[in-house]
Amino acid sequence: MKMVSIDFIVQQTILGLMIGTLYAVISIGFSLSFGLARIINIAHAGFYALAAYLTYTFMVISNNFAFSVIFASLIISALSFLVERYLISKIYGKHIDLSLVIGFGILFVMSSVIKYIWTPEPKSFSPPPLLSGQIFVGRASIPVYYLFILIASFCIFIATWFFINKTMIGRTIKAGIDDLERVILLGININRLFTINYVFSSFLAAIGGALMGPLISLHPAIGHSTILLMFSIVVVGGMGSIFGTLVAGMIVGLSISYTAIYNPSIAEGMAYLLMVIVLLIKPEGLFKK
Amino acid sequence: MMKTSSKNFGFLLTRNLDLLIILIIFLVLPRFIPVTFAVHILVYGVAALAVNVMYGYGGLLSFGHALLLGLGCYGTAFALNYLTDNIVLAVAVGALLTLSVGALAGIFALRRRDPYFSLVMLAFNVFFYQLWVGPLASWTGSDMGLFVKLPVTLDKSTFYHTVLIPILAILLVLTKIFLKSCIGSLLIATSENEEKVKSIGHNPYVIKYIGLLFSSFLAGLIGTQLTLYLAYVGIDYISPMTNPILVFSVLVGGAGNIIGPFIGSMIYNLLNYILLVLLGWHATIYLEGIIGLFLIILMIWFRGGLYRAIYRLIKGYHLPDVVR
Repeated sequence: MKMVSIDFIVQQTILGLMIGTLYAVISIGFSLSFGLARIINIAHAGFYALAAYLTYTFMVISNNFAFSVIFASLIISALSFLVERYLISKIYGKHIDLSLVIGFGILFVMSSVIKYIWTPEPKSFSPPPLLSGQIFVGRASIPVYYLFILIASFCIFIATWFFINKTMIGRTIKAGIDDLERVILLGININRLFTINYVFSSFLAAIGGALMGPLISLHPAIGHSTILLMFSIVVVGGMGSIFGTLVAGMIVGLSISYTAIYNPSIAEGMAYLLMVIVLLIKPEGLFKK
Repeated sequence: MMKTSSKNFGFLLTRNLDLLIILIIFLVLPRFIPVTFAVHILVYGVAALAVNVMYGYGGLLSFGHALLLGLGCYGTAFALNYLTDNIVLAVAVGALLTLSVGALAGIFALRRRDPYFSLVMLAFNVFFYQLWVGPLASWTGSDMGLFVKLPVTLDKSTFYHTVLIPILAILLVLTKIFLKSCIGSLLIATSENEEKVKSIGHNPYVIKYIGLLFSSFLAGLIGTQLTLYLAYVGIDYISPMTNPILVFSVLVGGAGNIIGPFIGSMIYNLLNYILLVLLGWHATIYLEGIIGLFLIILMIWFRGGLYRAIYRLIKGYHLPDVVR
């Protein structure tokens, strides 16, 4: 076993927390869709991938990171509204397998579109100059962009928490997750609630994808590989629980980054192992009441 | 005496007409298309049948059966390359490997219903795929695939007619017997109402587990035959991207019957072939999108699949829906 210096561990910890919280941001929407509308929203991964590619294009055109992220997220939100209106809304209340298959269908169409527009060759872009330096903690060098992602993810989480717990719509969504029938009995327009929930979820996925862009090399299958990570996080945290998703994201991120110290090629498998263990011990998730 | 036996035969024939139709189609298929193409239709058809046993009858949609198909392929390839010269033994190794991984996956995947089953199976598939292209790459040949040293070489067409068709017949009959058996009926009952199955004293978990084992056996065994036919295993067969193709085959043909997956497999392979001829290398870009579009349209507007549509045309009434 090779010796691992303390600096390297610090570095991996920051990396794990960063990746974990960013994946948690992406997973919230997945978790909300399942909790409220009882659908498995595989298309979520497609929105994530598409957002990363759109950000890449806007960066090439404008070279303005903030503009690119926000504009890409808005376009994806508009797209998700159309998808919800004409496809997903047809399967509410039906068997959950339908949403799974349709989700894969949408994901496939999206990755085909990505291959068509951006070609299958990998693309990459760097973060803006302001965020691209490094800072040193002891001898461990930590990219500024990692810290930015960490802070940004926490801000997004706090904003989401406020949206769900302090606004009327958010509270209705929360109530719907607990008991949908009573919410319907109260006379609330459930279809509009589902639409808002879906667009909000996709917006979060898009922001996650846009922020993830500079960290990875973009290829048409990035969506496919995200599905299972999202699912692992949601299973570990418990479907429909926001706080659980954040903590589960960190756990999964750290386990991936620590495994990567010894063998990077099986690091992602660690997330699935974690999921399988949680399914065995506490099938409803660690943080579900 | 003679009369009753002929009556029984007629009864047996009408009851198993679907098996006969499939066999006849596969017997005449090589007259019209290349044998390798027919073999792929057959292999994907049986693998889709394995998915259908779980989905159409058990109500559990699997997105991980490519793993079982691929393990059948690779198990035989490993056995022939590194262990033995005996083909029967190699086939047994492939089938056993598939069964054991199916058994392992079942322990976790069947813990909870519906979306969990699909995605935990997918997770297993991705995990093994990563092992295959990562730590085990020197064994599996990674992206390049694995060439297999066959102790005996049979002519492709002879192999198709003397080995593949009989094996297909055996697998079809086994599937029919399984589905008509007590366990098969209980599997269907479990998909309809698990609580009632529990209340009459059966354990739904065990029933689903046996269903998954049978399904693994189907997919694994046909995988072993693919290796023997091609003398090569490609990474495609174990790739998670093969799963949507199997699910597509089941849904196009129609879930909950034996012919459906074969119709679906034929349509997929024809589509693939036509696109390859028309577009060449670019076909991969469009194929994914077309499969995706089909999945969306099928699930929203044509949930019954082709088999049901044909059935309605001939008989004039609907089959009861299996897909909810």
